Amino acid sequence: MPDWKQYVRKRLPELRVSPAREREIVEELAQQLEQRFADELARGSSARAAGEAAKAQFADWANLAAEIRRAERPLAEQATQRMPESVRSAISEDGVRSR
Amino acid sequence: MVQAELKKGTAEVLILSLLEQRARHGYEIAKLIEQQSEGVLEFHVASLYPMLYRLERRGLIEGRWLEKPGQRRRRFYRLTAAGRRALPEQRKSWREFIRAVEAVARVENA
Repeated sequence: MPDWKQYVRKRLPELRVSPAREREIVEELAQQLEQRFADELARGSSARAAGEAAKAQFADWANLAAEIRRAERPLAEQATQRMPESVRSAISEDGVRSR
Repeated sequence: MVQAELKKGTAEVLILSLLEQRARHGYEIAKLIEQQSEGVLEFHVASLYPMLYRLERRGLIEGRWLEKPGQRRRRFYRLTAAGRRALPEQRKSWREFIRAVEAVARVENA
């Protein structure tokens, strides 16, 4: 059985979350790979084919990491990121300035 | 078989709907979407987990590690109270969207 946790750790770029949260995410992604691998084997695939099928689920690790970082941002930060630049620049770090 | 990439809004209502009955883990969610849509919808797994984490951040679902006897621990997701409140509105939006698409499609084919 491949070491899927190690596989994920080697490929997943930094997530910029707490170490505990990063461990959770790595474990969850590894389980996705492991489960797919096991299902393919159960369907009669060779270990090689099962491994390829599992790995194909995550083709772009950089994009995956970027999406996870975005998802893990605090909600307030996510909301400001959706604002037009002109509005974002009018907001100070401490909050909205009154005019 | 028609495969359509699920967009963010679609994915949300599907995930929330599947969690309505009981808690599920990520692998099961993706599989169920494909099975229950009879292969029409295929959820790209690489989109699934960021989506789950977004929904969790928004307080609509809650993830918890559970260990069943003889099995490794898995992260199960369940709807929160806020998620249960949000789901009917999301379904309503989808029904309206589908009606609108059908209306236009019928008009063009007339």
